[in-house]
Amino acid sequence: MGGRSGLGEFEQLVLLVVIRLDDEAFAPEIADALEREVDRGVTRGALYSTLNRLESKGLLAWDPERPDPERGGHARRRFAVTAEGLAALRDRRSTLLTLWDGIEDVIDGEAR
Amino acid sequence: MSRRGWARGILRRTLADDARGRAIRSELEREHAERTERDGAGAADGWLLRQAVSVASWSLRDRLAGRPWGAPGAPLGPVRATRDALRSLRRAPGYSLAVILTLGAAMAATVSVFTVVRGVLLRPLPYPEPTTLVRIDGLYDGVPGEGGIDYPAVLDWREGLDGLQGIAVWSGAEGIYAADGVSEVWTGTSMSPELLETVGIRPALGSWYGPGEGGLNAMTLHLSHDLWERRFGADPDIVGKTIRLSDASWVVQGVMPRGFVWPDAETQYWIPLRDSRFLSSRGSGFLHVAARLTPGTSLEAARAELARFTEQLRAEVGEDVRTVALRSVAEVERAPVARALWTLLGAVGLVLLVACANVSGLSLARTETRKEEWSIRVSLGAHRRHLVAGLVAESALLALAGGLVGLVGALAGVRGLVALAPADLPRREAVAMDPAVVVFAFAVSLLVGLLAGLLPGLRAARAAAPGVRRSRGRGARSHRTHAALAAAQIALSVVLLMGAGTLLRSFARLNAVDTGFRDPGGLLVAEIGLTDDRYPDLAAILDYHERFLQRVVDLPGVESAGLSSHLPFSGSRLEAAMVREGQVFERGATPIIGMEVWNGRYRETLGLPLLRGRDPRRDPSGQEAVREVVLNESAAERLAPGGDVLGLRLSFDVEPGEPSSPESFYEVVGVVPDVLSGSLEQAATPRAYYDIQEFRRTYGFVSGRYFYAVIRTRGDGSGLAPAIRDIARELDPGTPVRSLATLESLVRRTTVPARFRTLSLGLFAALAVAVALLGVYGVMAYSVATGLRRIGIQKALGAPAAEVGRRVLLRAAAIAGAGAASGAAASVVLAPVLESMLYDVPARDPWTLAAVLALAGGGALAAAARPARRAARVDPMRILREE
Repeated sequence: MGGRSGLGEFEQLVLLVVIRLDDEAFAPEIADALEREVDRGVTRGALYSTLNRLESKGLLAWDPERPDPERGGHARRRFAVTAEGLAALRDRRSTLLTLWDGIEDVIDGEAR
Repeated sequence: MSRRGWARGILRRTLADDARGRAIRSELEREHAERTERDGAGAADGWLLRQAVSVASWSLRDRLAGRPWGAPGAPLGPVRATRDALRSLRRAPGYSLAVILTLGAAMAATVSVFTVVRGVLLRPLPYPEPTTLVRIDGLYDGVPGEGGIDYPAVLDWREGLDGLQGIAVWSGAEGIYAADGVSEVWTGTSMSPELLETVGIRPALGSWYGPGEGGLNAMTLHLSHDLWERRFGADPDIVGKTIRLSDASWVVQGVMPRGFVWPDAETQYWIPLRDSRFLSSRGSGFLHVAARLTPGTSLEAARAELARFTEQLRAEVGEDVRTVALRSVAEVERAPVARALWTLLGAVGLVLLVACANVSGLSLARTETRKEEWSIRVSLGAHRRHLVAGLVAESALLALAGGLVGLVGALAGVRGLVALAPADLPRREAVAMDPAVVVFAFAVSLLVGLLAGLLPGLRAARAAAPGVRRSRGRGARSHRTHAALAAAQIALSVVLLMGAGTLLRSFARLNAVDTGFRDPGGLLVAEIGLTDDRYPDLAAILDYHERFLQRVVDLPGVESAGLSSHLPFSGSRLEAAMVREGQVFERGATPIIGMEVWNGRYRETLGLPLLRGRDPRRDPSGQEAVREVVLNESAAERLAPGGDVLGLRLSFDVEPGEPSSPESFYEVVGVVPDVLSGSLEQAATPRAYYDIQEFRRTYGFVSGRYFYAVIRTRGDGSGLAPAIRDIARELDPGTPVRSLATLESLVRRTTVPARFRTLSLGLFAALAVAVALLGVYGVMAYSVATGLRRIGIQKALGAPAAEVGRRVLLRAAAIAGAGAASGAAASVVLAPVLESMLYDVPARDPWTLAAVLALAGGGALAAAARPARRAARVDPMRILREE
């Protein structure tokens, strides 16, 4: 937990993925993207726990999508990052950038 | 149990039955269905069980950490509901705008008329205990007129009636105020001393008359607040001071408070009743009477007592005792306008109903498109309560916005209505928008908005079920409801159009009536009041007349001028029973003829040709009496039906059963055409015209001290008014000219009530028609838009474009036909409401009905033209591809 908004690392990742997926930000796609991009397996239990938490904090919102009869008529939710969510991410980024400032050489040098 | 069954059991126990829980279950089921298709049932079932276990463990973890899953955000409070409703309405700007404008226009009309009705008809009159204040008026042909009571009757009533107290009388008065360089005529009231106390309004300055004060001919007066401010600079010490009025001195007794308008707003001063020989004669009724019901007496009881008393008196005194009507003051004041105003309120009620039907149609269409959204929301766990709360918020928002638009529109509407209203609209000053009107406006618009906006939605929301509701062709039932709503709008509009149409025809007929005057726009009419003090004898009067006429005729642009004892186009002020030589007077059988006295070239100026005979002569020397009279056609017909009236000798010096004196006979020397007298709706009355010199020499009086000059001008005469005022001022500053107007404007003034009714009802009808046609357009456009697939199939199956378009038009015609038919039936039933307001047009006028039906049908087809074109142009391939 860190920053003003109390944004955890996994929460941050979820928000970023939701932004990247844009119109395709449904729960399975979010899970896929997390596994693919971040190479991190995630159960639906963990994912929903995080999504619920982000929603309760007001950083995430969802719209119902029209059910597809070919999918048994099951509806799904399309997630989107709220203005508060974006602000929290921006906050987090500037904190990190401040901390990164001036230590790139150290980090890069060690890596080389 | 299968793995899938286990998984579902776990999920059901773990996830709450709320929005979030149902959403998660739905999403897992959906993914499970996809995986079944892709990886096979076994793998998918295994996956589902694993996820169910993880969901169970994570939700348990979160619950232990104090973060239970089942808390789907804040409950839907009013603020949130309003915000959601605003967002949802912003996404449907066309719908929102249509509802707001429809409601707003109808509300503007309703609130305007309600404001006027409230001010004029509903507010209590501004007198203490207004319900006990009554008036007594004479009956003319069974209809109560204004005034017409004689003084002896009043004295009898004061003696003999128990149900009435404070019986007070008044009549009109006029005074010429000439001081400090101003010269003007004041309209006043001469009254018995108890009048102000009976009405119950105390003077703002000074006092009522005490016992023994203000008797006949007392030289005291009360001033109106307005006159006191305007002419006396609101002098606080005015009481007790002396004012010169009509060459006499008057002591100011008091100043009446602002807004005191008894008997009318024109009255500027009040003086004690003047004694005259008319005051003591029974049957010469020229007084108005006001009184208070004694405590405990009902209006009906007082009426019955007065009727009994009148019968008794007639048995004792004879036929001269007049039949009278006792009415509450509210009834007297409101009677002339009540019917028109209630009718207008009914009319705007219909406009409101049209708007209601329209908004219902709009929200029904919107509901159809939202059913799907609602099904999703329900399947995602939204409670129906939330859907309903959202609907209520939306409807209320739209209704309030419509009410606001209506209020703003009504600000202008009220002003327009009052400006359009006849000059004698009572309580004009009480017509104002106040908090009560605002409350009324919002209450009505909320009611309308909720009824029309909410009901269709409510039904749909209740029916919204989770699962698929892929509605392509909308239900036939909803189409029928739409069509019925549109037909109802057409029906209501036809009723309004029918009313407006008959009024319009009646108004046109009224304006086409020939008054008998030639070119009344080029005739200027001026009133000249000569006081007895300054002009005591005939010579003085004739001298003034001659000088006045000479100066006027010398003005450039004036063709001729003349004078009469009567204002042209007005009722007769003097009438008498006339007998032919050899006949004796017989009550009821002897014709009553109006008498008018002329001077100068009056007949030529009015443009009345001599149909037969010649003008009456005048003896130039003034010594010999020439007794000659000219009759109008009506009088000639009454006195010598079918025969020749020239040479007939007439007398109005009659006594029942006795022959008239030989020297009282006048010889008929000419006949002129009829002219109307005071109303376009009533036939001309019989009139006899005398030369002023000969008439006055015989009878020693001319009816009244006032003369009316008529001046024939080239072109529009109104520009000459200032020059004529100047002439009067130069001739005698104590004799001002007043009420200068063209004869045409005097005639037009009598049509103002008809114009008011016609214009206002016409406006409301136009509004209703516009809304109704929009409604038809909406229904047709909606039906085409939602039936694209059906239309596409029809065309693909070979239906020609023209046929498809024709079907749309036929449907519109059917809707319009059904609406117009029920509207026509309703108009026939409602027709009697307008009966008394029509002139020479039947309330069920078939021509108007035909025109209205043609208009409604044509309008509906025009409104359906665009949707029909759209249907005709549907490309079947594109539609089917989209499917």
